Amino acid sequence: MSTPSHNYSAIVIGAGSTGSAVAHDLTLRGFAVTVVERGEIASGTTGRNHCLLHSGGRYCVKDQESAIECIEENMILRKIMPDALELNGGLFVAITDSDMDYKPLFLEGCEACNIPHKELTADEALKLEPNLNPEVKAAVWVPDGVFEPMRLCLSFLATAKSHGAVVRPFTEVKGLLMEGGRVTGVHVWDRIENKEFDIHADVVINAAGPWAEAIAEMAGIDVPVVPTPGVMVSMTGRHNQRVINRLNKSSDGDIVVPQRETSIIGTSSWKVEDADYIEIPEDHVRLMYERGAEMLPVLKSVSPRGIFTVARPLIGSRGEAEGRELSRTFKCFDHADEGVEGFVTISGGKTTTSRAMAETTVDVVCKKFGLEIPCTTRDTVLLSYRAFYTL
Amino acid sequence: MSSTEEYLEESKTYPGHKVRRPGSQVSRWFAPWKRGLGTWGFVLNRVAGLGLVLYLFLHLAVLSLLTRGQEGWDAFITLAKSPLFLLLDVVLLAGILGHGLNGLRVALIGTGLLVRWHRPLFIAVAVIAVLGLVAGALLFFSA
Amino acid sequence: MSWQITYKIKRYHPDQGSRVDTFQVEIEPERTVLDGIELIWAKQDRTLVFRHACHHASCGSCGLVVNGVEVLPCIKLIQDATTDGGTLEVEPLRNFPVVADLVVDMAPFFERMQLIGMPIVGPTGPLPGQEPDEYTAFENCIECGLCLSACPVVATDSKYLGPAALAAAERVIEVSEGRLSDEVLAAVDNEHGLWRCHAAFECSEVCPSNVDPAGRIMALRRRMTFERLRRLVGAKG
Repeated sequence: MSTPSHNYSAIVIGAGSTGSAVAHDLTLRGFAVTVVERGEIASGTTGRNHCLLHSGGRYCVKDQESAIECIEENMILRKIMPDALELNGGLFVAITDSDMDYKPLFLEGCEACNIPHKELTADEALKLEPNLNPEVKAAVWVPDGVFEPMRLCLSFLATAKSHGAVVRPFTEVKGLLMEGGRVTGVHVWDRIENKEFDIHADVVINAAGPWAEAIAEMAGIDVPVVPTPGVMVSMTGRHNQRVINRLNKSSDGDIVVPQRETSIIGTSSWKVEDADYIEIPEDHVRLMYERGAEMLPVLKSVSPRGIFTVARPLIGSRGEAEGRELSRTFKCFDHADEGVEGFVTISGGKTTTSRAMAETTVDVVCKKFGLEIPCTTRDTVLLSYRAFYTL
Repeated sequence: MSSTEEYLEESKTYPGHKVRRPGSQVSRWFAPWKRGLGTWGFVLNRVAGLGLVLYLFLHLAVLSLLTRGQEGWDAFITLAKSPLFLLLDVVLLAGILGHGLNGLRVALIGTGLLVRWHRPLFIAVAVIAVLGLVAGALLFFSA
Repeated sequence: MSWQITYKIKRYHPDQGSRVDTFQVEIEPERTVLDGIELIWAKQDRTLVFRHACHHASCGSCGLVVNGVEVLPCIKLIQDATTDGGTLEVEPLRNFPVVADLVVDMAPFFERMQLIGMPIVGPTGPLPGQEPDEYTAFENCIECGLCLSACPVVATDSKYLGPAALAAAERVIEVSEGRLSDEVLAAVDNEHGLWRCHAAFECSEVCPSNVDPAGRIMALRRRMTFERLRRLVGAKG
């Protein structure tokens, strides 16, 4: 594969899943890329997420746009990410009559969004997952998966590094360099050496997740990001082999993700102002145990291994819809629309769709420079995350 | 032992930064605090082993007294019968028992045998060594 | 109810050398040691650098030495690490190159893991006749490096392949029915490989994922010892 030839450079702010995928896509399309991340790779929203490689099932009734994105990206990541995924599959389980009422809607949604699915009887479900609530009435299998969030980012970044990207953890953006209504780079604080300096580039991409609003503000732009945390409880031991979702509309504590050697119950949803340190509400934690145990009663009798929370960077106007009502799709803002050139923000979305978010973002970037270079990330198999440390 | 001094080198993970490589830390061989029984066994073998090497040289030095004729030798025999010297013999016995028995344990588990039993084996080594030591001490001081 | 915890954190900056900073933190005892460190960064000292990502012992990036022992601070509760009003002495992992403060460069570790090449995230699955518990043992490795930090042999031999990589090699042999590539075999069957271990078992003591690297190293030795004996006898007979 030949690298497209032009001499444009780009800075990506943030090394979560979005920034990592954007950096990868930019290098494949010939940009000289520098990634600046204020902490360690995936130390923000991505690292602390639920690790669910969405099949789209969770959105197929209410948010079909997100659901279609999810299933498409799910299938792509399976092909390009060899060693950061657990292809466990998932079940949507019906426990109550209300769940059974939801089932036809769910099946319709799966059909409409092209999500492969298979109906299972209660006996079949219990055979697959012996820890399920014996009251289970029915289940539907979908191709949910599980990923290791940090390794997912490292795979994108390792591949980007192999194409010349420079990845700088512990480099915090303190300001944007502006020249006549144009962003020309970033002013950063190197936290390792406690030094400040400038990095210049032709375009700056803001992939700072819940902190994207603060970054955009540095250019005098308002980006409507609503930091919406959720609580997750990782239990001692792995009690399910497939992702167990409640077959009903999304609610608190309605999913248990088996990852590595743990089962993670999630999640809840509320809004915060400051996403740097979020207190964990005890009542949310209790709710996770209760609701999780409705699907897997064994969770009542095991101890937690890690309790964590982090803010999702949902897009929406502040003060309007509640967290769960906000769409889980993503949005790319070319700030030329607000009169600032050389500056693009990507926000919303989810780790499952990070590759697609990158594709859209880099399409926007290429268009700004009049470049017509097709995206090739769908078919580019990524390097191992381990290569991040050895390149 | 491939000993290295502490030095700075370029990091691949954190581009533009030098990292400080740690030097060789032999002190870690003698720091069983807050560690498991396995480490106590490891430290025991280092300490006893070094002690036995030290003893070997002392032993050779003492033997060399033989070359100085009868008087020096008689003086040494008198010294060797003193309680302090007998006490040192007990320490020597402790070193031999500790290093020898624990050495057998390490040889066993180091070949992949009874690996899961490494903790009970260490306790067994300690018990046998203490019993042997008491018996030896009684023998030394009663003779 | 919150506890008042004293964090004594070892700091290091390339230009300034080392020092210990003391922070008072009010935090619930059910929160983790890592929560406290993040709280210090968020509210008291933005210059503190430390590694973390998943906060549930899956990514393996946050490993530290707390009160003299290697732990994953993301799953170590304050109440288990200290007592009411207690002190937490926090240092970076040992035996790794230090970048700044609590940040070490994991490159030496991942070079070894890449050489062996055993996948951990997508489980290989139980082999015929193997109990599920046995197969998950190695694949539970989260590559946190605690084992390398705790090993007294790594402390004096920086070329030693180390517990995690040797455990991975054992698993590769198990999965591939005894075959190792020549390159891996050369690295394993070597004075800085398999035979360097001196059975301190500290790797297995600190492993947060029950991988039991020491047990696997010894199993690998038994395999290789008996293999050689067989060849010796075979050659003579």
